[in-house]
Amino acid sequence: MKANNNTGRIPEPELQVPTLAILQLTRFGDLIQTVQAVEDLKKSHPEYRVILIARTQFAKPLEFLLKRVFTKIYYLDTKKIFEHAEVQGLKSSFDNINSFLGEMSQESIDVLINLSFSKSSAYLASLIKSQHKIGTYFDYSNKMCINDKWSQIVYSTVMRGALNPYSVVDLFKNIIGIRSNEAKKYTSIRFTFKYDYHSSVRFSRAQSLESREMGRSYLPCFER
Amino acid sequence: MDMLKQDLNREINRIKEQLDKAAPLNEEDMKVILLSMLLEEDSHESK
Repeated sequence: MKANNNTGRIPEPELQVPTLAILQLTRFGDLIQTVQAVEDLKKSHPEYRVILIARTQFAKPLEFLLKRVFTKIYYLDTKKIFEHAEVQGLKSSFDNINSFLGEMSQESIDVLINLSFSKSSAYLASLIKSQHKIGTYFDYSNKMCINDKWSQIVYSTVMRGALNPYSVVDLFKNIIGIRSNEAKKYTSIRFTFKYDYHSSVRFSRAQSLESREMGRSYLPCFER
Repeated sequence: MDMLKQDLNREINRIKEQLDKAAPLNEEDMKVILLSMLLEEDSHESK
């Protein structure tokens, strides 16, 4: 019997490009700080598909900046969502939010990262389908869930007072799972996602091309 | 009062009663809560 391919070699499985969705519903400053954090992520992992979910009124004026780091931007347009709702009632807004969520459901999101820390963003995070969720979201008993330690720190300390000694960009980077020194060192990394409830995304079993060349495999960079 | 606010108030009261009985929410309930919060945030934005 003849082999199906000419070489007779088993084809290597295609690596799926992972999609990270950043949920940032807050204002201009937070969006700019989010861009700074994601820029670092893109330096170390240019292959990632990073999408943004943001409110139209804040994201549209910054589109020129956001497009530099995000593959796609989903605009939550509340003006449109509540258009005619004063006379048509809840149904029209319900249809509009369903249409937005329907568009989002076309995405195959590996990790949804909520960097907003507002209640509305936590409810939206609950409604967006994703394999893993970082940051705040609500469960079906209406309890807020925060499973990663960096979001827990931000929620329990930074959000509770005006005296925050930490850079918000650094906090965002930690939530996303970036280590700045590793961002420079490893340029090409294969990985599988593994989620741990006590930390953010773990880029475990990461194997850099550099380390393979040196004969070391499965370098645990990005592990916390 | 506009229709949206009337509808939202009615739905939010229903959800509160549901939670008081320790009944779980569903996605439709979460969408109602989300819309209510977005509307509230928008009203603060416009002030």
